[in-house]
Amino acid sequence: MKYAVQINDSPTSSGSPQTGFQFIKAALASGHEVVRVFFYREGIYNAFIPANAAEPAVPDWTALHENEGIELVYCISAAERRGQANPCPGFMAGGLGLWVDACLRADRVIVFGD
Amino acid sequence: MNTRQFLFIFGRSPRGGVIDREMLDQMLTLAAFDQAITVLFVDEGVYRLTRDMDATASILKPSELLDLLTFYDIDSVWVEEESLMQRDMSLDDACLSVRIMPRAAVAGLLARHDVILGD
Repeated sequence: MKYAVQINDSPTSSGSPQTGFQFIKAALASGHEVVRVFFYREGIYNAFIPANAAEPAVPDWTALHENEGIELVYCISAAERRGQANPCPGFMAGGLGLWVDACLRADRVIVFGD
Repeated sequence: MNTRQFLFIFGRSPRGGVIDREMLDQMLTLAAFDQAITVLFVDEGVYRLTRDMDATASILKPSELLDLLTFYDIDSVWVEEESLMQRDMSLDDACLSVRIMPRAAVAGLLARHDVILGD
């Protein structure tokens, strides 16, 4: 099964990014494929807050990208609206068109957070 | 390009600001890529369509929202009957094109769509 994943919450204000992260790891471990992870709305903060020991709920997305090759795209407009510019390694800036593309290539679309 | 059936569910009161804007951006981008889009208003989401909605500058009036949907060829627009009745709401005059669906039919609507997104 191919999944497109959208993450919509900040990792420091909600547990949903961590839930999404664990879902992705479990899906990959079961032999499924993740077409793309798209970070939207408050979820864009995932691209700007690195994993750190003080905040264990913040997922290590960079490691996921480096170890599994998962494509991590944050919405450039949503990030600009929130004044964010320098993403962590492994993240790519993109537009909603990449989310549409992910939806069309996936068998299932799953959204974490609101 | 292949197409999917997308269902957008507005289930919350309009919150205004960027969150509202980004919900619409996502829906209209999918429409711009010629995807089939259905919209359903349920629960607190029906406040977007009501006559007395207290629209602030950052929230679209019912007429503005429906004009936007029409402009993007989104013509399958539904509101759940029980959500309206429970709130004793009447639809804004601009909502002539919005069709009313009983709660019992909502599961069938969900089943007919490939991707379901919420607000």
